[in-house]
Parts: sequence; C-alpha cells; structure tokens
Amino acid sequence: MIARLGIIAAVAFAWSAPALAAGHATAAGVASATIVSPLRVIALAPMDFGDITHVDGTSGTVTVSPGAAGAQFSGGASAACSGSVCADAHAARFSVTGEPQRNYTIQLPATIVATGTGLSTTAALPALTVNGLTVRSASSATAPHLDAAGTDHFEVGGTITLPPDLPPARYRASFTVIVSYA
Amino acid sequence: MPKLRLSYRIGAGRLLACMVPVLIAASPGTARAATAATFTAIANQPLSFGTLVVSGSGSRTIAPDGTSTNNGVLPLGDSTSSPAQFTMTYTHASGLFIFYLLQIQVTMPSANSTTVNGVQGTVSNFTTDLPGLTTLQPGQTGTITTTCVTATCTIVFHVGGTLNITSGTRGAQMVFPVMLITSVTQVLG
Repeated sequence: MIARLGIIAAVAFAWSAPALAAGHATAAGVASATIVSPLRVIALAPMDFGDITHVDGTSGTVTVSPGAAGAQFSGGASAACSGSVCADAHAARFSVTGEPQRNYTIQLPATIVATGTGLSTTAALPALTVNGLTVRSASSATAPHLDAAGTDHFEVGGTITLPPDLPPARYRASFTVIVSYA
Repeated sequence: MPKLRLSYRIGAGRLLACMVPVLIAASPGTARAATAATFTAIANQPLSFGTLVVSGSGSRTIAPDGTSTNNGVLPLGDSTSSPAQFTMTYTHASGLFIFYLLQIQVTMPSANSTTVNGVQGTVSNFTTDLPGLTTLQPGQTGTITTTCVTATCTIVFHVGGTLNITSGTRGAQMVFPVMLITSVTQVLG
C-alpha cells in the first residue's frame, strides 16, 4: 500500500513541474500590396455622322468607322455636302490614362438610340438606332494596352439607319463606355 | 492465507520496479538531456493583399482562412491574395518525451505604415488562426498553449490583416514588415 501511494505522488509531480523555456525566436514576414492608379477615360470627340440626305421613300445607312475619316453610305442615304466639309464625319474618340503597361478592356452598349428635333416640323420624329458598334484602340485592335506613360486612345464607330421619308431633323444621343483593367 | 499475502507483496514490488524508469524519463527535473531544447519561428508565406485599384481611400481585409472583404477597393483578377503563414517549431531537450504542454507568447512589436508614390498604406487589425489568439494588435502579446505528442512540435498558423489605403495619382508597390516575436514561456510535462 505504501508503494502505491509513492507512485501516485511521483506521477503528479511529473505533470506539474514546468521546464525552463527554450528561448525566443523572431520571424520576419512581410505584407504586400500592389496599388494601381485608377483608369480615367475622357471623351475627346463625339460620334459624328455628318450632314446626311436620302432619297425620298428609300431608307439607308451611314457608317463611321474607327481609324477612318468620313462616312460610308448605303441605300438611299448620301452625304449632304461635298469636299472637306463631309470629312467631318468621324467615329467617337476617347483618351484613357491609368497604370503604365497594363491591359484594359472597353465595354460598349449594344445599341445607341438617338432622338431628333425637327428642323421644319414640330411633329414627333422616330428615334434612330445606332448599332453595329465597333472599337479600335491605338495600342491594339484586340487587346487595348496602356503605354509606358500610362496612356492610350480609342475610337468607337457605328451604323445609323435612316427610315424612308425622314423629315429634316437634328439627332443627338449620349452613350456610356466603360473601361476596366483586364 | 500466508502464501496469499506473500504473493501480493511480490506483485506490488514488480509494479514499482517497472514504473520507476518511466518516471525518471518523464520528469523534466530528473531527465538527463543529451541535447538542449530548440525553438524556431519562420515566415513561410507573405500576407498578400493582391493588386488593387483604389480611388480615394479604401481597405481590404484578408482573413486567416484566406477569405477577403473589400471596402472601396477593386481587386484585379490577375492578382492573388493570401494570409501570411508562419511555422513555430519546438524540439524538446529529450527525445524520449512524447506528451507535453507548450506555452508560447506571440508579440507583434510595431504598427506597419508606409507611403510610396503618394500612396499611404497601413496594415493593422491582425488576426490569426491560433486557438485563443484570434486578434493580434501591434504592441500586444498573446499567449497560446498547445499539446505536443512528439519531441518535435510544429505549429503552423496563418495571419490575416486589414490594409487601409489612401491613393495618390500614381500606382505603388507596397511592402510592410510583419515581425513576430515568439517565446516559449513554459513546458509542462
């Protein structure tokens, strides 16, 4: 019986006695983050189809394309001017600034709807739709890229369809382009 | 009956003889260690907040499990984020030990702020997945106790935190030191 008590006391001592600490250790880690400057896009010039006329009773289309001056006509549509004045038709132009050497994306609406103000009538005018929007950046046709200075430009073109018998009018529309880092 | 009592005493004596060597090996006060105990702490993986677009100011929090929370920042898809990973390793003075309790103090000595290219950043509100030490503020010391079942006890843990950013007009590559001072304060068993 005495032997048993001795064993129990020794076991209790073994679990309660603290050993000395082994020492200190310092771990040098890091936290990191890469901050990129926000993208900024500025509209430099509107999408301009110029002054257009069309054959009575015949519809037509007018197209402005990125990277090309002037407009292309089809159907009953044609330029209402000649020479250097007609060269004013052009695609919309934008500048982009942001983090150098990074790719970005351009998001366009599927269509743009323009509303008109009659030049010789107060009657309601049909809305005109610009579709077939196309974009081309100065850096790349497929993967827009900011240069070493963090800048780039791009143009947006499209095709507007003129219904037959459209009265003289001025049409305007606004649209939103969204640029994001790729 | 006398034969029976004699047999009992012999049995108890054998039990004591068997236990004594074990007790000597298990008691730190009586162990004869061939080598000294060692303790190391290393950083295995940085706390990475990824690549962020910040307009004005914002913050991003990375939790010890790697989940993230954004407030006024936009992480870019081509970047990765992760919590920091540290490993503490304690090797007992005697390789015979197979079960002991280890008490460790963890201290983060200072706050972490920096300014690069006009971008100001501060990392704070550190969190860990160490049991009983979910937060770890600069200047604060926390204590953990862990059970070790082998002579060499390895504790791998992760540290998250919150990055607060005030952006400038340019981008910046920001690096913050994350120093951990660790001490073994007690070994029980």
